[in-house]
Amino acid sequence: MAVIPRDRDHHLNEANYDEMIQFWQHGVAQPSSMALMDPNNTKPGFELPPNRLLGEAPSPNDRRISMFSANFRNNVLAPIADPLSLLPTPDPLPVPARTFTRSNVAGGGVLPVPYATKGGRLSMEVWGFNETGNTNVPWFPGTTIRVREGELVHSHLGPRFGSHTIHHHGIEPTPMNDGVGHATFLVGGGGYTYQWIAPPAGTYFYHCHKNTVLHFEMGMYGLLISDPDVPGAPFLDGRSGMVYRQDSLRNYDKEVLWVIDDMDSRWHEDVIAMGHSAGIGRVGNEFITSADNTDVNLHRFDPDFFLVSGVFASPVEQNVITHPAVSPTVTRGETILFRVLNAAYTVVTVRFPSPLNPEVIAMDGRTLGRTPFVQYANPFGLSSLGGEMRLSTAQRWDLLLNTSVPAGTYSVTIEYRHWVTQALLRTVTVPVVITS
Amino acid sequence: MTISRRDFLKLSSSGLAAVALGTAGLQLFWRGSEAVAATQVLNLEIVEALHEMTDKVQIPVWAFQMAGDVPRVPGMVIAAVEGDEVDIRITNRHSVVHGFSIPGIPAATTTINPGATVNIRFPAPPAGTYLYLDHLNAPLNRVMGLHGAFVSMPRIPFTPYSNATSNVTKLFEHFGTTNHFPGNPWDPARSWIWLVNSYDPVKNAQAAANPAMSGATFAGNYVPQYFTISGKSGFFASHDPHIAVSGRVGQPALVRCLNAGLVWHSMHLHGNHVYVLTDSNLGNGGLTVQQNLILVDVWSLPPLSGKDVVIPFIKPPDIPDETWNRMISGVSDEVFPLDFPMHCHTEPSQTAAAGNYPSGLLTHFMIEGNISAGDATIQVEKAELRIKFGKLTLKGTCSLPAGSILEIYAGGAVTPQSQLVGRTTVQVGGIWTFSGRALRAIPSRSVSITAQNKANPQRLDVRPVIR
Repeated sequence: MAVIPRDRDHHLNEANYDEMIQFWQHGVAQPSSMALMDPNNTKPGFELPPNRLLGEAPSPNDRRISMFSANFRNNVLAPIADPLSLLPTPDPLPVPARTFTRSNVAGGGVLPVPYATKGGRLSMEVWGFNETGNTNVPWFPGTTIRVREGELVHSHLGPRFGSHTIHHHGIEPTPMNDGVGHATFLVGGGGYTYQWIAPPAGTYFYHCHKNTVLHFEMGMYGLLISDPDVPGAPFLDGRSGMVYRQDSLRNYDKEVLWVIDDMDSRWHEDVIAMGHSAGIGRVGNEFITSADNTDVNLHRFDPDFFLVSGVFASPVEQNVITHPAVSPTVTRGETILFRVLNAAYTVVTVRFPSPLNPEVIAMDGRTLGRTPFVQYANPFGLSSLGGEMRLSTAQRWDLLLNTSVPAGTYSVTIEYRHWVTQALLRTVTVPVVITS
Repeated sequence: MTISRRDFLKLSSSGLAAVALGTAGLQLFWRGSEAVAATQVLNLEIVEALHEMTDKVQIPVWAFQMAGDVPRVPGMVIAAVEGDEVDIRITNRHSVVHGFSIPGIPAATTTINPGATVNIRFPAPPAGTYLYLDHLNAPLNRVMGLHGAFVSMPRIPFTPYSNATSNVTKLFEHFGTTNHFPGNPWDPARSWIWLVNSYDPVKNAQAAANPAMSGATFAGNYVPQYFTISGKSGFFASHDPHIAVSGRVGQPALVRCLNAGLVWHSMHLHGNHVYVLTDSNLGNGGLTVQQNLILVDVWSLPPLSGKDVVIPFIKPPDIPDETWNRMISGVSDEVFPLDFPMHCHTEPSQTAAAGNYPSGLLTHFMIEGNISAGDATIQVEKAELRIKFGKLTLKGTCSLPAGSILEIYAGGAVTPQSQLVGRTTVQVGGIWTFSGRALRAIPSRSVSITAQNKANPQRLDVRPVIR
């Protein structure tokens, strides 16, 4: 019977090192920051190119060669003596307007959960980012990175355990500053400082992009908000501020951040016992078979916990979340800005009951109707979609709600549907309270 | 037109094969006919095959195979110009009855008994992206591999649609003519297809052993283990130039996204936001060309849905200007190409064989550098030919500098019998128009536009509206 090869019409020559280096660096041997600091493979204690001994020249296709100019490799990277040095940012600009530092939370943290996990526990391990040296800041989800449109930002990652990355999702800098392990490198050792310009005002997020299927699920994410370049910006989470509606600036009285997530407790108790690189092979044995992966099973995601902004829904409470960080209370006539992110692997449907009719003003950090790039779209009332918005993973919508409606408690519902079966897994209710 | 040996050589060296049907000029689809064969009648066979996954596991599939070609999953791209007759002959080499259908085109639906051959003939539908599939025993036959993309192109491909909305027209008018889109107009040759599917190897093995098993049994407890984009995964999808999208800043690219599988995907591009142009129901052929063109970095792709998106190929906007200036001057530390990923953000789809990240539904998006003069493009927005007087009127855009001379030819400019019918000059802002007599264009009812002396760039075989 005819076989359709995995490399149909674009052959991979497995005997050719210059081709295989790309294959390995895409998957099982993504270079770390330490590898990039040894561009000529001459320094003991750094990171060897796959299947090369110390002193052997790296392939020209090796990312430690292909991503950089000869000047940067030989005059900036090669002289670095300590493998635990900070990897220099290419094309550095010296005076950032804003600087952030993040570390991964070493060894994870433990969250209490409102009902038993699949393993019968009342707590679950999560991983995350926190502000380096500031253990008092809550870190799940990660602290919001908040910037002002157009400013130069330096975002530093200093991993405390293993290697990780930060992908600032929706920010579009150079690949080195995009934080994707399989496209560039993993940050280990002495860390790295990502450099980018604060994007058009809107809602973004950040997450680890190493073994992403696992690290994102484990909780390594936080919101990233770019505020308009106006006095007082960046604003404070949950407070008042200004936002673009088309090309105009609007005031809002209260900001509501809904980060919708789900968790499969099996991943948080069984899978993580297999390490940060669970499910991944190595050079020479590039693919782990599904038989050997039966304990990992990263293709099986069947969530049993459902959260909004870090707050678990519980059937004991009819899945109503009244935590003030999630459920807003405002005075009639005030304007609420909702920033909604789907950080779950399920598809979520958020439904606003009539007469609430929020206006959708932005998606994925792009303000509808803002010139020049978004002049081909206009904001619209959610009632034109029957009051509901459906978001798949990583989508963000911003909504402005004028609360000049009769005072009362309005129940916004969030439905979580399975990514394969589309079965309804849970409906969570978040009250929006409008007082007279 | 028959398939030449040369065309087959091109097919065999390409990733995503395509066949153009009817009288369509090949250059309407892919410049230089790369990856394209042309034929009047498309002969397809339904065959059994094994599909090697990224980890070398072989999974039984059912595939479409064009006569003289190899089995492919997805089947090769079928392309035609709106209104042209499409003629497809399908032979069933399998042990059970199979179907063929293109939802949205009633005349394109048929069933084929084992060993039988069936002919279907229909005019190509309104321009847009469609799915052809075996609709029987849904979703089994489709998910087993019997599906492919059907692309209908407008007679004048200024946008990808015959009935573009005003905002789609405006966006394509702005490519290459405005400050925010420096560079070129969209070139129809810059089109890619991302057709996604998944495999549950257990289910495929069951269906191969028992091809008559019900679609409901196949779909029940379906647990996909492999996730493909245009038939490939992981590294292989990322390094296939017919799946990975590449180009220079100022060369917008159209990507037709289709989901033939059973998983809800959430496509995420790094490096550029994309405009979502359409929303298609691939199950019933419903095609909506959007008026509200959202600009997003994630777009949902539910099962049996399609979305055409355009990657504007702007400078990644959050690179500092100082850095970008160093890059295009060749003095930067970080160098071209800028290699970004595209992946599904519903991350379990990034696995293969229950792990092995990143070996699932992903590819690359590569920015090779800044636009250069050699990349210039001519586009035609309006073309009308009055049969009675032979009056030809043309309007278009072009990335050559203002003052450049364009030449208008009757028929294809590269054919020996082509004849010059007139010249025009590119205006400030890249706009050009032509109005003149072109009796010589009446026999072929087609015209071509080139730079002076038949030089590049060329826009070949434009088919004017006949009045």
